[in-house]
Order: sequence, then C-alpha cells, then structure tokens
Amino acid sequence: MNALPPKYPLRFLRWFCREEFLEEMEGDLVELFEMRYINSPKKAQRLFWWDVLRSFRLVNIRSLKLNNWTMNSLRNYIKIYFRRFRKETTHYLVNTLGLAMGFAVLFFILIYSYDEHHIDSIHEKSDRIYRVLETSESEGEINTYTITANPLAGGLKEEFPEIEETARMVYMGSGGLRYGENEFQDRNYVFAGVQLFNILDFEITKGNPYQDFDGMVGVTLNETCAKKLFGDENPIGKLVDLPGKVDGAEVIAVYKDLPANVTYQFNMVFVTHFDQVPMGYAQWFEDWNSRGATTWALFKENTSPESVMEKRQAFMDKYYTEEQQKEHAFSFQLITDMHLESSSLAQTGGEPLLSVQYANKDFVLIITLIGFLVITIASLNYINLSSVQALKRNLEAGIRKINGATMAQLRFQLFVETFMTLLIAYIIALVLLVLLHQPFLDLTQKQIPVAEFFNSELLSFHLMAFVAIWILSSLVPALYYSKLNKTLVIKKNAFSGKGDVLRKSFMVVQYGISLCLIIGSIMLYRQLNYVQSKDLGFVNEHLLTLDINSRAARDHANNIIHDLQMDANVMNASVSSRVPGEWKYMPTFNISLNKAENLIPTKHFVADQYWLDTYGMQLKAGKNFSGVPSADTLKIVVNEKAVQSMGLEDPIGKSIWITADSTYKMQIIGVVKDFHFTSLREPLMPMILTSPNNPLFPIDYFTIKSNGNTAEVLDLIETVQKRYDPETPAEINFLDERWERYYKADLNRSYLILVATIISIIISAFGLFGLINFTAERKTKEVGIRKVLGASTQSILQVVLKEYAILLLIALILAVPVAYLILNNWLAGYAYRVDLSVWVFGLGFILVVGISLITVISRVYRLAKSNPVNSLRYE
Amino acid sequence: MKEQSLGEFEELVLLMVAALHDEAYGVTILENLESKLNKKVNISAIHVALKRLENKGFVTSRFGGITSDRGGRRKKFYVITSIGKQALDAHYQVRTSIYQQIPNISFNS
Repeated sequence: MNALPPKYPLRFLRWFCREEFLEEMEGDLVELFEMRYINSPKKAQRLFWWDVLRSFRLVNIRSLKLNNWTMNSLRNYIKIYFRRFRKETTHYLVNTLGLAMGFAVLFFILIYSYDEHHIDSIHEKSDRIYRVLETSESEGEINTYTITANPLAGGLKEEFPEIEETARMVYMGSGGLRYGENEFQDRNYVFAGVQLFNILDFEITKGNPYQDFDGMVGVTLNETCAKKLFGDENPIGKLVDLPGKVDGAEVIAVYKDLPANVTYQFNMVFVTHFDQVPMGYAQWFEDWNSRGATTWALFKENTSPESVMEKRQAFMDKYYTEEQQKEHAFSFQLITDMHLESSSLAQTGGEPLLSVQYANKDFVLIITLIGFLVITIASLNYINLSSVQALKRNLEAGIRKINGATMAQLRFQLFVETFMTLLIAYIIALVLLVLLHQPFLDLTQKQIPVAEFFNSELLSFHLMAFVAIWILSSLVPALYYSKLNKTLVIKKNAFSGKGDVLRKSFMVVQYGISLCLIIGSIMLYRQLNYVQSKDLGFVNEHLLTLDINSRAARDHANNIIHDLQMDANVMNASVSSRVPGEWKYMPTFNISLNKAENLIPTKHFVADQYWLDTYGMQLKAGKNFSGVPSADTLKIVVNEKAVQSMGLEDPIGKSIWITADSTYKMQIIGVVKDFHFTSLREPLMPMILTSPNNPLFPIDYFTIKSNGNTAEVLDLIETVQKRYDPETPAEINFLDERWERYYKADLNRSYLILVATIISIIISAFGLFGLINFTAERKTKEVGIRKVLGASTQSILQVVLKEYAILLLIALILAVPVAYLILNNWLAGYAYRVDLSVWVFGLGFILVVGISLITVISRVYRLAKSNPVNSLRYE
Repeated sequence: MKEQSLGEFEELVLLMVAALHDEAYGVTILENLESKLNKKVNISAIHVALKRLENKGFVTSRFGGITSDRGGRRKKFYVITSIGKQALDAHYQVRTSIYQQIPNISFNS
C-alpha cells in the first residue's frame, strides 16, 4: 500500500529544512500523505505540495553556514573578488565606475523615453479615446489637421454604433475671466460640450459640470484659477464674465489641476450649449464645411476605428458634396499617440493651446539609441579590462585547475565576479539616479516624481539590461580565464597575449561610437547656434506685442499708436496682422503678373508705415507706406524673394494681381529685405505687405519697441488700452519669449545628447586608461631593457603610442560615413542649415585623440621616466 | 525566571500534548485538534508551535522506534513538563477567576 509521495516537494523539503527538524517533519508529512492517499491520491499529492510550501518558513530553513559545495565556492569567489579589488584597485574602480555611469545614463534615458511614450496615458480610458483628424487635399497639397468640421462630433455619434461618446472643443483666441475687480488673461481654455467630461479624466473637487445652468456657458476651472479669481471664497454659483465674449456665466465646477504629463492641461473648460450661441456663430457651428472644432471620439470597448473607417464613404456621401469630401476625410488618432505622432500635422490657428508640445518620434528613438550606445561602450570596457585581468591571473587559475577545478567552474567564477561588479555598479547607478534626478528633470523640462523612476515597467527594463550585460560581458573574460594553461603556473608573471585582435576591435568600436557622438553633438550645436544667431532680417529686442481682441481697439488703432508713441519710453509702435513667433496661421494668397497665370503662393502681412522701423527692417528699394489711408490702399511692399519668384528686373512701380476671395490689382512701391517670421525649419516664402487700409485682411496686433524700461512700458500699454477699450484687459507678450518656443524643444534635446556624449567620452577614456595601465605593467621590463640599451624617453613613448594611434585612425575611418549619413538626414529637416564640413570630423577626431593622449601619456610617461634598475627588478 | 508567554494556538497545542499523554506527535495532535476545533489546521503551524513550546521548556520530546510506516521515519513524541503544566494551570486560573466575576446576566431575551 505504500504510495510514494511526490518527488519534487520532498526533495525541496530535504534541501531547505534544518537537519534536526527534518526527520520529524518529513515523517509527519509522509504519514499524512499516506492517510490521505487512501481517499484520493490526487488530493493527497496536492496537499503534500501545500504542506511542504507551508513548512518553508524561516525557522525551518537551514542556515547558510552549512558546508555545501555551491555555497562554499561562492563564498570563496566573493572573498577572492574583494581581495583582488584591494590589490588591483585602479582596475576595479575604473571598471565599476564606468559601468555605473553607463547604467545611470541608460536608466535616465529610459525614463525620458518611457515618459515620452506615456504622455496622456493617465486618462483612464486612454486605450479607446481617439482624436479625430481631417485630411484635406487641394491642388496636390495634402494637409492633415487636428481641427475638424464643427458638427462632426454629433454626426459620428449618431451614425456609428461603435462610438460610445463624442465631444468637441473650440478655441477662440484670447481669453480670460473677470469676477468683480479680479481678472486675468489666460489662453489655456476651451469651449466644449459637457461630454468632454465623459471622455477625458477630470477630478472634480467642487460642484458638478453636468448640472443645469442658465445661458450659453457654464464655467469650470482648475483650482489654481479658482484661487486666483476667488481667493478663499466658494466659486460655485458665482457669476463671472469672459471679457469680450460672454457676460454673467455661472461657475459650475472646479477640478484639480490636470497632471503634467497630459498634452492638454486646460485651465478653464467652458461647458457650452452650442445650440444657444448667437446667430452668426450658430450657423458656423452647424456648417459641415467648416474647420473649427477639435473632436474627440470614445469608442466602445472591443471596437476599433477600422470598422468605422470601412463605413466612412457612406458617411461622407451623406454629409458632403463630392468636392467637399476632399477637404474633410476624417481619421482617428489614439490619444496616447498624440504626443509623438503629431509633429508633422498642419496648423490652422484654431487649435487649443498645447501644454506639452508635440515631440518628434525619431528624436526619442535616437536618444534611446544613444543610451544603448553608452552602455555598450561601458560593457566593451568591462570586457576588455576583465579579459586582460583574466590573463594575468594564471597563477590563480593554475592552482585552481591543479586542485581539480573544471573549466565550467572557472567560468562560473568569472560570472560571479562580473555579477559582483555589475551589482556594485548598479547600486551606484541607483544612487546617482536619486541624487541627480532634479538636474535631469530641469534639463528635460519634465515633472516626474522620483517614485516613478522605479515603477515596475522601468525596473523590468533594468533587470533585462542587467542580465543581458552580465551574460554578454562575462563570456569573453570567462573564456580567457578558463583556457589559461596550467603549466604556466610555474612561470610566475608569465603572460600570454591572447585575444589581442578581439580586444583591439572592441576598442575600435568604442572609439567609433564616441567619435560619432562627438561629431553629432558638434553639429547639433552648430545648427542650433546658427538658427539662433542667424540674421532674421529684423531686430528681436525689447519688442512687446499687444493683441487686438476687440472692435474698439481695432477702430481706435491710430489713436492707440499715437498715444503709445508719445511716451518717452517707447521707441516706436506699429500695427500689423501677424507678429513673429505667433502660432496663428499666416494667410497665403496667390500673386501673379498676369491676372490668372503663373500663380505664386505668397504670405501676406498687414503693416502700417511704422512697422519696418519698429522691427528694424530695411528697405532695399522704393519707399514705405505713406500713412495716408486712401493713398496706401492698393499699394504693396514685397520682399526680395517675391521679386525673385516673379522674375522682375525693376519691381518698383509694377502692378501685380493678388488673388484672395476676389482679385485685386496692386502696385509695388517698395522692396524689403528678406525677413524670417517663422521657424527656420521652413523655407522662406515670397511675402507681400499691405497697409492697414486694405481689402484683404484685418489688423490683429500692436507691436511696441521699448527702450528697455519694461515695467513702465507695460503700465503704459495697459493705460492706453483702458483708455480706448475699457472692456477688454490688455494681453501683452514678449516677442523673444514667443520666438524661443520654436527652438526650445530642440535645445532641451541637444542638452540631453550633449550630456550623454560627454559621459560616453569619459567612459571611453576610463577604458583606455585601464588598458594602458595594464600595458604599462606588462611592458615594465621591456622598457627597462630598452632604456638600459640607450632608448630615450621619447622613443619609448612612441613605441607605446603608435599602437593606439592606429586604432584611433581605424575608428575614425569607420565612424565618418556613419556619422555623415545620420547627420545629413537630420539636417535635411531644416530649410536653413550649416554645412557638414570636414573640419567637424577633424575636430571630433582631435578631441578624441587629445583626451586619449592625455590619458595614455599620463600613465606611460611615468613608465618611460622610471629608473630601469627598479623596473628590471620588478618580478 | 521570567514568566514565559503562551499564545492562544500554543496553548491549544500544549493542552493537546497534555491530553494525549505519551501518544502526542505531529499527526495525532493535528487530527485531534481538527476534530475538536472543527476546522482545518496546517501541520506546519503545529510544528512551529511545538518547537516554540520546546524552547520555552513546556514540553520535552523523544524519538520513537522505526516502523515501516512513514517511509521509515521515526515519530517524535512530545510530553508536557511540570513547567508546562504550571503554565497551563496559571492560564486556567486567570481565566476562571475572571469568568467568575461576570455578573449573572441573562441573555435569553
């Protein structure tokens, strides 16, 4: 009847259980098993497993001191590790620190990349929230917008059962709130249907956004705005004004400030009854051929946009004429893809503000790649240094072998040692991660709590990196070490120079990567510097802009300009339709010499007679506007590019045709030097300027050039604005701040790359130093003999350095084409770019050579200068 | 000597050791406890309790003879010591004395 208990749990029990408890416990468990076996063998086996697991308690586990082979040798390996650490401190320090820095860089970059990929994923339903995009195709130009037809949200919900909820939101230029005396300007708002609260996550702290309210708009705002406007009062139920838009709107809810890692962090959401908007607007909101709303669609669970896309044509046929269909081909973008996949989308100016600017997917990829390159350099270091160390340990290996150690055991020893080094490096890296998290966040302009640095997904990346590096970088040294010939044991200090080729090729790869990174960083810097210091064609200093947000301001434009110019602190003031660095779209019209032939798309600005002076632009030929409205109406000033595109020899006095809604014939009175009002990523367009009194486009901004007394000028602008338009608060911006936004993302990226590059060079130098240190030790005797025979210090330096110089050259030859290809690709994205000249490669090379030389010479010089008597005695 | 503490489960095991005098080892204690308490008890809990009791000196143990049962493993029998008995008595006394202080309340209605 004796049924045998299952084998594995029993073995496990015998393995962990203390000797003195084993007999009793095993006996009891087996007896129970035998009793249960009679009733049900299956159950008995299961319960036996369970009992063994339950017995796996601390009190029962045998102590580690037991004389067990694995433990014993492990302990020996670790002891030897630390002894060697003490003996070869330089080697081990260099190794460990290099790896620690490599780990730290990799982990920081992983955090960056992780965060970039998780923007907007905080929304609970983020796997089924989509933003609706519309693609328009006209005259061969294809543009995709984040702004759709205004009634699309309603239509989608009605027609497609897959869609659970839709919402639209509309942005309408300047904004703000007023409550009694308190008021503030803030553009970070939207008008939206209340359904928005069903789709995105808002944490409501007071009130209820779904409640009924009187009028067109119910105000919800975040806690910061509520505090600003109401102080400690309870905002719910208070009536506030949206200056210039709505008077007496009720506050219905307050929500927690939206978190830093979502694209849209609205300060205010105005819940809108779109059916109650004033007459003119109501039509627009129902017009299928409009483009004004950001549309959200929440899909039901287990449905996907594909099925909707299949049925799209029927929908299009129902709502659009064939002609309009080309303008409104909609598609869906998952909310979590918004951040990385929107940088090439077109803008109309009607987009709500982005709190987190879109990022370029390629860049995130590149920086991740750099992280892996840096850790690769560090690992190659480790492999090289440990290999040569392993070769030195023939005495130890010999004795171990003679005592009966197998190859596998020797290899295992090296795996243990690598593990120790990696573990120490990892711990240092974690400390660095915590210590340096603030500078890192400042550098990348991110807000990530430290706890998020160690979330489970990132930790699993750590683990993967750790294990991969452990195994890969243990292999080579372990192989060397285990293959050492035991006969060498009798020859103390003998050295077999095995694996030189492998080691040298590793070094070439390392230096190749470093070179690529250095060359890349130099180019990045030159390009960004070029973009920032390029002559933009206008002077971007002490310029302030004042938005024209009301009829009153627009009508009194001349008076406002006059009053501003009267002040001593104001150097100049002018009015225009657009200003540099503003994200609003630039209107494009077509110009031609003959009414309808050879149409040339041209950017259009409205500008008064002071405009060129205010911006410090220069007329190349002809004259400026006169300032007399009737005389200026049909006159234009063009830029050089426009003259060029039309092929005019003598432009002044010529008449050209301008096609907007209708066609006008206008006379060129002046040519202005080219100026850049948009990012230098975009090519320069032909431009025409018309006076404020023109049939094409209204004015939208004042620009004020101050003498530097910013505070006084700000006061002045507000006073003047109040004088002519007491209703609307002044919305003032500094131009250079706005302009900077074009390049801010680029700048932050370049810092990140720069830091990674510097560290990669340091790690490479560490590796080189380690190798040189080793070579120096090995060559002590050789150098001694050479010196005795009369070699000079210089010739000895030469002997050692030649070897490394050749390696560096090979690295350069390999790195140049790679760097060239990548950089060329990147620069192609800029319309204005620096040349990829030879000297950049030269400089990169010289930098690497310089750093290596310093490293090498600092060690070798000591060797070359040493007294041969000492070195020849070196045994 | 410092008064040794006695946990609730330990007390139950100690009682059972005393009750099963000379027949008490893991499996019998387990079976009897399960039938008295009317619930499942895990053997490892009893092993732990027994070890603690032995360390406190409340029980002593000896190995039985080898039999063909239990895969040839010896049983380990436990017997209560005089200190163990004293501890049980003390516990019992405390409980009874408090119990007797309960006023005569009727819970019947």
